[in-house]
Amino acid sequence: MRMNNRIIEFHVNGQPRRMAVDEDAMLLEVLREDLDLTGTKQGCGNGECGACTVLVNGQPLAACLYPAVKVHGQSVETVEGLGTRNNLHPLQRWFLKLGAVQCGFCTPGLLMSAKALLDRFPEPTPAQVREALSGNLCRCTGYQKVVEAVLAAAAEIRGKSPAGRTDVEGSGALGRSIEKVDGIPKVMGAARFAADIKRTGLLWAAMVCSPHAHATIRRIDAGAALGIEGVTAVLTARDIPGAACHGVVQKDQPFIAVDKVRYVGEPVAVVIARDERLARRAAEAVNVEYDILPAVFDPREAMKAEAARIHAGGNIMMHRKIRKGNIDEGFARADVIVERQFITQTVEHAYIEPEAALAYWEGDMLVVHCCSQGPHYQRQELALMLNLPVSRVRVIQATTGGGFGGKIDLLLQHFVALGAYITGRPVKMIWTREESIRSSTKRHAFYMKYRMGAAANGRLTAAQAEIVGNTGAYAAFGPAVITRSATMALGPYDCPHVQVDAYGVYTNTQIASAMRGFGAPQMSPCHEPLMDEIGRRCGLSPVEIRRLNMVRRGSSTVTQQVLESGIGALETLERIAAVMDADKGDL
Amino acid sequence: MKRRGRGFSSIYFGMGNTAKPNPASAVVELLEDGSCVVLSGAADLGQGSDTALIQIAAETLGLSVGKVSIKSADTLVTPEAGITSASRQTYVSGNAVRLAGEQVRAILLHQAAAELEANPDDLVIRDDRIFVKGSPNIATAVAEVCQSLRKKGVLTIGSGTFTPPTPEALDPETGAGIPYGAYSYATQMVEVEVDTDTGQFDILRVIAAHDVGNAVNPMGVEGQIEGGVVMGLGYATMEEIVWDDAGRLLTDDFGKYLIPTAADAPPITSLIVEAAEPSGPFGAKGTGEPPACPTAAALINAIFDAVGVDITSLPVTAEKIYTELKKSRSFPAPAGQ
Repeated sequence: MRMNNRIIEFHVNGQPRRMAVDEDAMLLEVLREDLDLTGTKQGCGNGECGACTVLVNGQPLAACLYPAVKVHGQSVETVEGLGTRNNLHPLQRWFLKLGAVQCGFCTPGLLMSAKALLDRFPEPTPAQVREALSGNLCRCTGYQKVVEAVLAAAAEIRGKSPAGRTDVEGSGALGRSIEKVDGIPKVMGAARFAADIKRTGLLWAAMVCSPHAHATIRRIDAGAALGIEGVTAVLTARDIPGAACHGVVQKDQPFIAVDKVRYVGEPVAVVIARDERLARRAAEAVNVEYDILPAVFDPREAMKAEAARIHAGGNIMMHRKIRKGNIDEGFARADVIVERQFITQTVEHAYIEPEAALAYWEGDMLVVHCCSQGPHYQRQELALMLNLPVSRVRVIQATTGGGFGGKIDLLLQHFVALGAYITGRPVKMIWTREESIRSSTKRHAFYMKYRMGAAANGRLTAAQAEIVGNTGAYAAFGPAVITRSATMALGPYDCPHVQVDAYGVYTNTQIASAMRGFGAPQMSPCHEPLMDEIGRRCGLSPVEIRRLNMVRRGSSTVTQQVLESGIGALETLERIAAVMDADKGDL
Repeated sequence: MKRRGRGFSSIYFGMGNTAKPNPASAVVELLEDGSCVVLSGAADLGQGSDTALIQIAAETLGLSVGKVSIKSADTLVTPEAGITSASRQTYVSGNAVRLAGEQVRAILLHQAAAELEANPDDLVIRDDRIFVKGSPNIATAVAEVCQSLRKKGVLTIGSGTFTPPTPEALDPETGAGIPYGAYSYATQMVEVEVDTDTGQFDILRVIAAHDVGNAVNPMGVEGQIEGGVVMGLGYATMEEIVWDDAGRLLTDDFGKYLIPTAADAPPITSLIVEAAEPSGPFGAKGTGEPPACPTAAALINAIFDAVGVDITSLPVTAEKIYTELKKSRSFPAPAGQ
């Protein structure tokens, strides 16, 4: 509970403020909650991402770690003070003009760090800009356009006329680099991400998560949590009126764990309480008793008959086969045979916006605002869970701070929807960075064995791949990832004899689902070094071996699809080869 | 000693969900003043689908881009567009918007043809005006045609649905079939400098050539390429989820799970290749995912090119390179090297 026991006086964006704040409140909380300056974002709460960067007396700092009481007598600048809609700051204008804004979640922090730099160094070098922005994580842009925009704004502030893009104007609407149509609210800090949406009478949700990788749930005792003043409800799977499980491909994942948990971090109960801190505290008071089961973490182990069984149907979620031509004949015709084993790691999407959602009743309609890559899909899952007609659930995508595949699956929408359904009150939930990494989906770790054959002239004759993907505790988008990895296993090459066996295997780890590339980023570290090796063995350069084997009109893919048009493969290679030829002497 | 190397990597990437229907629909409404509203279920996560769909609607109807607005991804208001995944929204929803726009265009041209005493097939819409091909003076404004239609009780609204031509599931035994209606292609080159004493490496630059079909918005395409390359480099060099032996996560914040910063990201040259895709809207394909796919492989090939070390797991680290360099030094170098 907030005590509001210290009076502070300070300036925010030039306006004097006098207010009572909690002794241990951070500046970020005061800005966002008390002053409704939600342009300053919370991405991590640890001062590691820079999304909450504000200027205090001109110095950039992380508002999430800066005690509010310390701003007494000081001057604070936030993104809301940078410019107005009709008079944007040069940084804001150049961010839009040069495409430095994508999701917009890290943008306010980047703008403030850049402003602090330009206030002190009006003519920075690109390296100085990169250094000054190195505390601001951005997952969308790759930073290049951000650096260009800061340099252009700096030039304009110095009275120069920096060049914009030359491909903005033109006839027709296509092929022109027009500014993002949703860009202005993003550079002003006015775009409403789910965490920024407020509602009166709000309750907050917090998860009780499994500390065990594999266990049966013996008992959930919510008595102590419910005894805390301000706790409204503790929801478990028993409170769900409709379907028990969800999943975009196959419905194997409980909305809330039913009788068993399958990874550390799996939600087993949801506490609904008066405020966010109280909900988290009460979640710790929920007592869950488990019977621990043997767990398995490596998919190669999980495939074995004696491995701990994670799902009733066995641990092999799927096996996708590709059989083109005759693989034995392909290798028999090969003069050169190369082999490779490769392991890729599990990785995190790491969008800078942590997951957030808010649900409430509006008449007969259950409304959910959330970060999302697929509101229609999520609507269907929520309707099934609540036994409502699909038409009575409304999912509204809030401005979403990156996704990269991670905001496809249901993440927390079902917790707030169930909370609002049961309590009749609006319910909100925002994940911390730690909760996000613990409970969101991941990119599959792959274990691969490759063998490729070619004639002495370098033409491929055979390609064979065995892929074992760690799909984690539940399927999510895993079956589609495994299938795509099989279809992408050879890369853009024409080969008559292909055999691929791709397995998706359950383990007691975080759920692996869609992530940018969807099974393809794992494949290229196998087929591409092998292409180079075949080239070396056949006396061909990396460009020559690719040029020889690349798909072109009439080529047949691994699935025997004949490509007919729109095939720019060779041109992508030749364009780079031309750049290489032009600056051969540099290496 | 520091040695430089270059590595190539090529990939291809199918647009849309693999071998299953993944339709999208859209509504286009032309208003009485010649401005336009697009309704689409496609969720924009920052990659720019709202902007691309507006450009496609404007192109279809010959409107200036500033006259088109969009409402996206609200299930009560916007029609189904499937999930924003599989690099599909420009290709699939782009086509849905184009088809919806074509319905409106047909209504407009029918009326304009009567007013201009011309054949609808001979009319062009550009810059908010409708004119006879080759005779730009025989013209009328889109807004005026809308108003005459409204006087007759005709509204200018259309809807479109598109699903990629992926007729059936892949054969369960052979995988044979048509998994994707279109493919994007890419080649990337990573240039690296490796310290042969320590295994430390610097990524000097990346050149990324991506066939995206006809680029709807080149700046947006570059944004996808640059962001994808840096994500690919994070995958290649620093990112890793690590658990303890009980399955508890050890990398649960940005202090332990590292992603690239502005200081880590190398200069990137984007080369846009435009092999027009006949099934795409105005020849466009998707480009969300492909930029993240080839980068790690290009780095591995660059390191081999520089120091002859083959890395066999991700992420590529200085330690792994150093270990391999030490191994290779314990044997005499092959002749000629």
